[in-house]
Amino acid sequence: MRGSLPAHVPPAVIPALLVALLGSLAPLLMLLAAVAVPAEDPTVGTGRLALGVARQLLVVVALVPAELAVGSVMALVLPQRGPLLPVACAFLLLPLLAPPVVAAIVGSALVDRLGPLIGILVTDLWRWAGLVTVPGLLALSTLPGNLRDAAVIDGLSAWGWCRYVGWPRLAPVVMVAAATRIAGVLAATAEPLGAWRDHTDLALGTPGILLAVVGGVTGGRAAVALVLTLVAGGAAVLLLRRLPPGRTSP
Amino acid sequence: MARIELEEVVVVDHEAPEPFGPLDLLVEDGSCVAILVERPAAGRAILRAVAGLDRPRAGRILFDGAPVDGLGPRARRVGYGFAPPAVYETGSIGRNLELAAAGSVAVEEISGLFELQPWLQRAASDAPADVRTLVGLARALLRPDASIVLLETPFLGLDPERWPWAAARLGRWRDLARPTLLMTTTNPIEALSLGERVAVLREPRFVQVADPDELVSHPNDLAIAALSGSLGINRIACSMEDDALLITGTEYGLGPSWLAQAQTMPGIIEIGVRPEHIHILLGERDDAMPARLLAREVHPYGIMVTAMLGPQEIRVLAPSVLPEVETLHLVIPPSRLMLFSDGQRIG
Repeated sequence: MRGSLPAHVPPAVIPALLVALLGSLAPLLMLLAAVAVPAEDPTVGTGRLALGVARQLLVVVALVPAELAVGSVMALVLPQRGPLLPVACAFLLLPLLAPPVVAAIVGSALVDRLGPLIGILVTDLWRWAGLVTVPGLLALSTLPGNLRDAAVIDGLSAWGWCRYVGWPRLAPVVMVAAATRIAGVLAATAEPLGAWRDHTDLALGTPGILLAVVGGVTGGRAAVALVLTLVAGGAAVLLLRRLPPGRTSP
Repeated sequence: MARIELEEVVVVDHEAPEPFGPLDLLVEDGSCVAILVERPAAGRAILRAVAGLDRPRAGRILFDGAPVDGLGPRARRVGYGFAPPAVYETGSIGRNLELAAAGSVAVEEISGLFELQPWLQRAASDAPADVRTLVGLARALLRPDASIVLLETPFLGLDPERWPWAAARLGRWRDLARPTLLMTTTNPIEALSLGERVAVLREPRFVQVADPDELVSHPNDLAIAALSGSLGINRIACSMEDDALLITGTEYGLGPSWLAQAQTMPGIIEIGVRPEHIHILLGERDDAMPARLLAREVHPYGIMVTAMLGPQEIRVLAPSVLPEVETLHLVIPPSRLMLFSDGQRIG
């Protein structure tokens, strides 16, 4: 199959893309399950669900690509070797590690200062771009020295370096990060179903993330990822059906 | 193309705790020098210093008589063939060649020379090891206006059966473009077949720089003697008696200069003789040494015989027809005999 692909497609992208797609299946299955099973909270209606889905689709279309792009650029631009690398990684992961309340305070401050649209965008990028940058930096730090030197000898431009040297190594990371984020966003889509709230993050987000990791570890073997996706999705559906209803939002 | 000189250069080896040198080497304009190394990393360290990828710790590198210390790889205009070959996965083989050629029209010519045309449109990631080797080689040779082409183990990844073909193609390209070539290899055959001069590196410095014929006929020490020559060398222990050399009871007269040298050397004296230089007689003769035949095997150049000369096992290249006998009588022509004391050549 690979032989028929255009030559400019990095070979590692294909399995990573498959993992990304398959990794998103579990949350989708869960979303279907959430729609199929009547909510405990009677105030939750189809209209609110549709609104939630539309909102999250907007996030997937607009915010997630921006996160991936900013994260990728940071990974390509930041120094990929040397003593500053762990410091940079720690700093970039700080938003992910900070307690949600801190993130919320900073986010609301940004929204106040910059306005809702830019504030949300900046907050989101601040929180999630590191998800690409840190593994991306680590992936780029494993680039063979020969390839770096060949780029110097060939006099590749910055764009040429990104295209021929950096991107092939970064692409799988970006794809897995995309799978992780999309899974997370889809999980949050079920938020309007208030009665499920306490369990959706666990049941919807986790399988996607796990699959992305497993897919990455197994080299993105599609069959493995597919089986695991279906198993995880099925298990999550059963889990949701058995769990007692959670608390509703005030 | 340029004339390259290394003057007391101390190079950084990323795989060794200490830099090594000083190294002195001259690569004449349009010539090909092969550096025979024990470790690939040592050769790589030298080439990286010449390319400007690493700064030498000491010494000077000159291109056409001018120091290039402050210049980077681009300014030095080098072509570089890495081992393993550096091939950009994101792109076709053709694109890989174009990136190295930087607008040169030679892509078609060199892809024809190395039979890469069927691969030009195909993804580099699909290329098998031998094609990648040829692409790496072609990329190095394609550098337009290169002062020098540097090659790390140029045929690494290529089936040894294809080496003569690749060497011939490289030779044809040299006839066309007359590049100055500096290559490193751990393989003596590669060094001796490609280099017009061969520099033998035994860290920290070069122990002999000579053309291949001289390296085979006049190696500076036993280790070089063992490396050079396609069939290796026999090491035969011997002793001094008055003015003669005694090998398993057979006397070999020494010339006055050899004798003087041999007598001043307190170490273990050994004879070095190549398998192809020993003559086999079927009958006895005064200057022949009896040897018990142990084994024989067919060799591209004849029959390789293993025999016991006294207590020592030696190898002899016999003509293609050798009768079934138990004892051979061996004659070593004095002109082919090399004398070593403690491994160092003394005559």
